[in-house]
Parts: sequence; C-alpha cells; structure tokens
Amino acid sequence: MNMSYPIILCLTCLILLVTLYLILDNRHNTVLEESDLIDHEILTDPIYSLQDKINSMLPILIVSILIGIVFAVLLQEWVPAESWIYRISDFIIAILAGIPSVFYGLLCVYYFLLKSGRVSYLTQSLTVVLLTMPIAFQSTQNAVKSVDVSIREAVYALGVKKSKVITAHVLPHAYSGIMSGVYTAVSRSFFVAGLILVTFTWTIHSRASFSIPKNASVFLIAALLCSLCSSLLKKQSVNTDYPA
Amino acid sequence: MKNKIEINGLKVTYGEKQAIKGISLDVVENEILGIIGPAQSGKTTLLKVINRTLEFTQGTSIEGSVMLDGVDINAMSDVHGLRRRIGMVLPLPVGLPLSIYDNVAFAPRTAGLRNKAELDEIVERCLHQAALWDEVKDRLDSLGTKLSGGQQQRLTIARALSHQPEVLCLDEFSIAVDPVTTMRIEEVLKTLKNDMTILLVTNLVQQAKRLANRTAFMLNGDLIEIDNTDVIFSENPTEQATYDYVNGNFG
Ligand SMILES: Nc1ncnc2c1ncn2[C@@H]1O[C@H](COP(=O)(O)OP(=O)(O)OP(=O)(O)O)[C@@H](O)[C@H]1O
Ligand SMILES: [Mg+2]
Repeated sequence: MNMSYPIILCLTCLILLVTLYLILDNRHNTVLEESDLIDHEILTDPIYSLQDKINSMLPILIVSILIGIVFAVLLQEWVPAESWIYRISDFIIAILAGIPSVFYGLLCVYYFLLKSGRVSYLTQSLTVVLLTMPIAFQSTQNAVKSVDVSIREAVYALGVKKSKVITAHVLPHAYSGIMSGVYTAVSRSFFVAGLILVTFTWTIHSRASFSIPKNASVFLIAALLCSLCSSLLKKQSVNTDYPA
Repeated sequence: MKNKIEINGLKVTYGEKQAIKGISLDVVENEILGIIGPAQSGKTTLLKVINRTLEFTQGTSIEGSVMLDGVDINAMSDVHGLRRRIGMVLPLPVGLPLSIYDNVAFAPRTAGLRNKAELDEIVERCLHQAALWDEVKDRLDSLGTKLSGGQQQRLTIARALSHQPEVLCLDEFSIAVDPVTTMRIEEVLKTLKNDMTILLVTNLVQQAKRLANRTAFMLNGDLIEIDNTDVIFSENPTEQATYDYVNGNFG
C-alpha cells in the first residue's frame, strides 16, 4: 500500500489543479448579470428556499455516513487486504477523502448550480455523499483496524461467530474512533452549507456590505463544534470501556 | 485409556519459517499433559493449531492431522463448535471490558442460553473453579478489566470454563499471577482433570513436575521426548537434551 501514497498525492494535486483552473478560468466564470438573475431559479428564489434545500439534505447526510461506516466494516472485516476490490476501494476513497471540503462546495456551486441554473436534488446529494462518505469510511476503517488482535483472538477462542465478535467487541472498541469520523463528516457538510449560504447571500446583495447571514453562521458554528468534538474523540482512539 | 487428541506428523510454517517440524503425540483423556521447552519452540503454535485460531494469522500452512475424539479437526465444518469444546487461556489475561458476570456469561449467552438462573449457576460454578468466587462474589457487576492482573487471569480461566470444554489449554497461565495464586490455580487444575483433559504449556519446569501426568519436551519445533513426568524428571530420561533442560543447564 505504501507504494501508492505518492500516486494518491499526485492525483489529488492534479484534481485540485484542474478544479482551480476551471473555477478561475474566465471563459467558465459565470458573471451574474441582472438579466441572468431571472433565469437562475436559485437566485430568484428567496434565500430561505436555499436554506430549505440544504435542510432537505439531512436524510442524505445520515444515510451517506451510515453507508460509509457499513461499507468500511464490511470491507475491512470480510474482504482480504490483497484483493483488488479492497485495493481499489481503499485507493479511490483515499483520494476522495483527501480533497478539502471547500473544493466540493465550489464545484457544486459553480458547475452544478450556476451552470445549469437549477438546484438538482441529485447534484446536491452527490455533493453531500462525496463530502461525508469517504471520511466516515476512512475513520471507521482505521478504528476497526486498530482494535487489538488479542481481543479478537480471545473472543474467537470462546467459539463465537465472526459477526458476533464484530458487533459485540470490535465495534464497541472502535466506537470513539468511528464517532470521531462521524463528527468530521458532519462538520465538513455543515461547513460547506454555511459557505454556500454566505456566498449566495453576498452574490445576490452584491452591492450591500459583506456580512455573514444568520442561517449561515448557525452552520458554521455547528461545523466548528463538530470538528472540535472529532478532534477530542480522536485522542481516545480505542475504547477501554464499551459505551453504555 | 482413551486418546482424546491424536496429532500425526504435524508441520506448521509461518511463511518461510518452520515453527513445528513434524511432531506426533497423543493426549490421553483426563490427563494433564505438561508441555515444556524454551522460547520459540512452538508450544503456543501447537495450541493455536488445536483450537484453530492459527487461521487468523496470515500466511500459515499446516500439514499433518489433528484428531479430536477420532475426528480430524480441520475437516470439521463447525469451527465455532470445535472452539467451544476447547477452552484456551492465554499468557496475558485479555479482559473484555464487560462486568465480571458478563465476562463469564458471554460465551453461554452467545451460544443461546438466556435463562437467568442457569447463567447465574454457570457463573458461580466457573468462578469457584477458577478460585475467584470469594474475592468477587459481592461485586459481580463491576468491570472485569478493573481487577488485578492475577484476578483477571483467573477470570479468563473462568471464562474458558464457561462452555464446559472437554479440553482445557493453558499457555503459560502463571506469567501474570503471584506464586500463592498460582498454587491455588494448580490445586484447581488437579480437580478439573476429573472432568476434562488439560494441556499445560509452561516454562516453569517445576510446575509440570508438580502437575503433569506426562510431560512433552519441545525444542525448536521438534518434539524431543514425551513420557511419564517422573521419567522426564528422573536422572535418566532418554534424551540428554531433556535432562539438561529440566535441570537448568541448557545452552
Ligand atoms: N505470528 C507469527 N508470525 C511469524 N512467525 C511466528 C508467529 N508466531 C510465532 N512465530 C514463530 O514460530 C516459532 C514458534 O513460536 P511459538 O510462539 O509457538 O513459540 P513458544 O514455544 O510458544 O515460545 P514462548 O515460550 O516464547 O511463548 C517461533 O520461531 C516464532 O518466531
Ligand atoms: Mg508461547
């Protein structure tokens, strides 16, 4: 696996550069004219409708994080590390998780929202999934990996089935590591939500002075709190006591 | 006398490294078989083959056969059932972060036992057998991991006894246990052998001398000698190496 880290790094850089280029390139830059505003459903909608759209992503957020966790446990526990499924998943997710959340946010805004002028449910959902799934996956994978083999062997020696070993011992041990990842993932998506709200409010009232709208600051503060929780939980990577 | 376990031409390799180089031995029902030998001689590996936990180590290969009651263990489809027939106590106690009660009740519960009265009975019996009951009977609900090292080791013994195994394997159980407690557990083993067959891996040769009916001496993956304990510890065992190891002038 060590061999592939330079490749991951290069690919991530490449993706970031391309994204930057596309965003900064004038031909692609969307200049908002008064006449354009009429066409852009998103901009003619009052800002609270954007807020509604963001709120409607909550179920997607939850499902996406859950899928990340379940996928990580299945892959880590049931798929051998040498198999190509494991390697490819590991590789792709490492790349996706390595991209800063702001890039997903910008991509979503510039390409999917402004270009098409519509907020499609699919685009939003995709952004949320890309933002949260890889992070939930990676932290679950690491947490599960770090559970001591001696615990597993001791439980297996009692004649306990694999699924039971995992649900009764591996997951409780990995609990805080997994939760740390959940907080990071939530924090990332809240951060992007807040960012989008700020950007749009500013764009629409472009003559007004810059201010952070109230609804955006709620997301930003929540993102900050989640991110702090995550970093505190990370300190306690393996549980010595199972959570109640 | 019936053979409980029959091992034939067993070879185990970890990748390139040969850990067991073709050994054959029988374990007689209701005996304590002491297994002695210096570090790296393959004692732990042998126990892991018997309860098939070696399967969790990558890159191992096993040749030869191990029979339990005349059935090849590697041909058994129900590996969990096999492991429930074999209790295992590891050198260092692995406390599951559960209450003392739940540590012992975990395996029977997982096997489907729900009746509280029966579970209570199992927990009490196993803790008695492991010489721990008197010390913990008033705090069965406190965490098992908060016990002292020696108590935790006795808790793992109780846990290993909880599914009434036919064979009990102990791998250097006294490393983390004080001498007084070691003596108490040894007394327990003497009574337990009426109900089960015991494989006692130990690097305290005197422990084998005190407890074992027969003793096997292993060295670098080979079985040097297996015989009645009094022969192994006498002035003239078959092999010179056995004599040297037992009398502490080895190497
Ligand atoms: N997981 C492993 N991977 C590779 N080699 C191993 C592994 N476990 C054991 N070995 C090797 O197998 C040989 C036998 O080891 P084993 O643990 O069975 O010895 P032992 O007799 O139990 O020693 P000790 O008295 O130190 O516990 C050793 O040479 C060891 O290096
Ligand atoms: Mg050993």
